Amino acid sequence: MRQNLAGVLHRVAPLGLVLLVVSACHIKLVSDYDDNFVQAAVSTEKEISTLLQNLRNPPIGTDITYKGNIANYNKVDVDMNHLAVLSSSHENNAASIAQVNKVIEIVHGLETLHRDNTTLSPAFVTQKQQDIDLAFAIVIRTENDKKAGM
Amino acid sequence: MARFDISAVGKAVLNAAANAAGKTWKKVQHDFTADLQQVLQNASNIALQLESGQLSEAEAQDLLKDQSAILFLLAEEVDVDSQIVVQNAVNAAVDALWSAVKAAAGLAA
Repeated sequence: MRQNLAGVLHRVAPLGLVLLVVSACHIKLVSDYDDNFVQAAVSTEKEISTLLQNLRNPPIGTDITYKGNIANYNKVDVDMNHLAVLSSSHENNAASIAQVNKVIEIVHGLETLHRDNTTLSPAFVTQKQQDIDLAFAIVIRTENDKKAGM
Repeated sequence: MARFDISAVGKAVLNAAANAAGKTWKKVQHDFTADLQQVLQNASNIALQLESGQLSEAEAQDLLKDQSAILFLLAEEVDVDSQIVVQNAVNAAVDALWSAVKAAAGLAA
C-alpha cells in the first residue's frame, strides 16, 4: 500500500509542479484598462473644447486675449498634469505615457501662440480644435483597446 | 507652392506602418487608415490656408507640428495593439498548455 502511494506520488509530483508553474504564467505586456484615465481624458478634452469654442465664438464681453484666458489655461495645464500622473501610475504603460506627453505638446503649442500673438485666427482655432479632438480620440481609443483585448 | 500629393504620401506612410506592424497589421489597420487620411487632408488644408493668408506662418507651423504629433499618437496605438495581439497569443498558448497538463494529471478541465 505504502509502496503504491509512493509510486503515485512519484508520477504525479512533476505534473503538480508543472501545474503550479503554468497556472501563474500569463504574461502582461500592456497595462490594464483604466476607467479613471478615460474619464479624466474626456473631461480634459471638454475643458479645452470650451476654451477654444469661446475663442472662436466669444459671448459678448468675453476677453479673448491670452491675458484674459490665463486662468483657463492654468486649469487645462492642471488637468493635463493629472492625466500624466494617472498614466504614469501603471506598469507597462509606456505608450500611453508617451501619448499624453505628446498631447501636452499640442496644447502647449496653442498656449504659446496665443501668448505670443495675443489673438488667434479663426482658421487656426478651428483646425486646432480638430487636432485636439483627434488626439484625445486616439488616446482614449488606445486605452479602450486594452479593455477590448483587440 | 508645391502641390501636396495626398495619395502618394498616404500610400508611403501606410506601407511604412504596415511593415512596422508586421503580422499584426490586419488587426490594427482599421482606425489607423481613417485617421491617417484625416492627417493628410489637414496637412493639405493647412498649406492652402497659409497660401491664402487665412493662417500666419507661425500658426501653420504649429498646426503642421500637430499633424506630426498625431502620427506619433497613431504609431503608439499600433504599438499597444500589436503588444495586445502578442500577449493574447502567448496567454492562449499558456491556457492550452494548462489544459493539457491538467488532463495528463487526471484533473477536471
